[in-house]
Amino acid sequence: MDRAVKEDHKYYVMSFSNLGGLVMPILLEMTFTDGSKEQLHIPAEIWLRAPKNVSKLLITEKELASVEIDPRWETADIDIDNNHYPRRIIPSRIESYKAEKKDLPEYRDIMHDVTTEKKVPGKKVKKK
Amino acid sequence: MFDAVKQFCVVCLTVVVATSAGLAEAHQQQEAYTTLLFNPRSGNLEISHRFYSHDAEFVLSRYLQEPVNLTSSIEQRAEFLRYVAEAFEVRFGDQQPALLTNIGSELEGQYIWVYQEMPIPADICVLTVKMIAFHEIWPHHANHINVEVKSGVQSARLTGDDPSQSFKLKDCPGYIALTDGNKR
Repeated sequence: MDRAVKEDHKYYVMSFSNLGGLVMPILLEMTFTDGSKEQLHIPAEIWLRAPKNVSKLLITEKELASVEIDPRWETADIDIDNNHYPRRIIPSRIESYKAEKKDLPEYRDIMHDVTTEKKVPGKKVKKK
Repeated sequence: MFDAVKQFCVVCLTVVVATSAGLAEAHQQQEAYTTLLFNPRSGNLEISHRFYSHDAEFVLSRYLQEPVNLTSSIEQRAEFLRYVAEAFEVRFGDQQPALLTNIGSELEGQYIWVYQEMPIPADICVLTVKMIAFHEIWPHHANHINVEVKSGVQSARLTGDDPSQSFKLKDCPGYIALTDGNKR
């Protein structure tokens, strides 16, 4: 205990649930308050301890800002809504589609073409 | 010596025929996916249809009687959106087909996505989905429907013989599991 106080490290206990049933390694990306990132790969053997819920103690020198599970989609996880701490809202497909900025000509809304005023081209001045 | 050459030619010919037969049979599955998502954040029932672009171009070319290229023609993509909107309907209880708003379409790799939405109606327990896209050309074409609600996903595969399916939403108080007798 004294040593822990002396070292002044940060202690985090992360709890993971196996909701889908398939045993997978836990791939973590940790972002610290100073902006640095660290990867932590926990082997699938962790689920030998308990098939439904496991906990992992993490001791770091830096303060943790956020954690993401499987950031590069390398496991067979089909629900990425619950892969972030703090919780992040994942937009639905249609929400993403609406949010995209569509400046390219192929994205023009042809239904609104009739409401667009035509520009009258000005007279060209020929250079002598 | 001559026999050996003859035997070698027969083996080569067999390999070529076997390979070409394999290629002839290699075709993607004829199916499309439709997801109905009850999105509590937006308050909308969001409907996303995903089709193979190749199949969509083939069907639309029959429909329009002209060559179709969905990658280059936004007008034809708008036509396909209208085609899908006519082929798909959703009813709540015994009501008339719901009025859906066409959001748009986009290409992603080998797929074309079509988006529709409507406000989530109050107190819905049963919804019926009908999807007949591509069935006029391929009756065996499977339209896979996923209904995503808070409690989970319910699915059905609709073909030309059975183009509609009722879903009893699990969040509804009087939920009873669907059986074949619930099909319409």
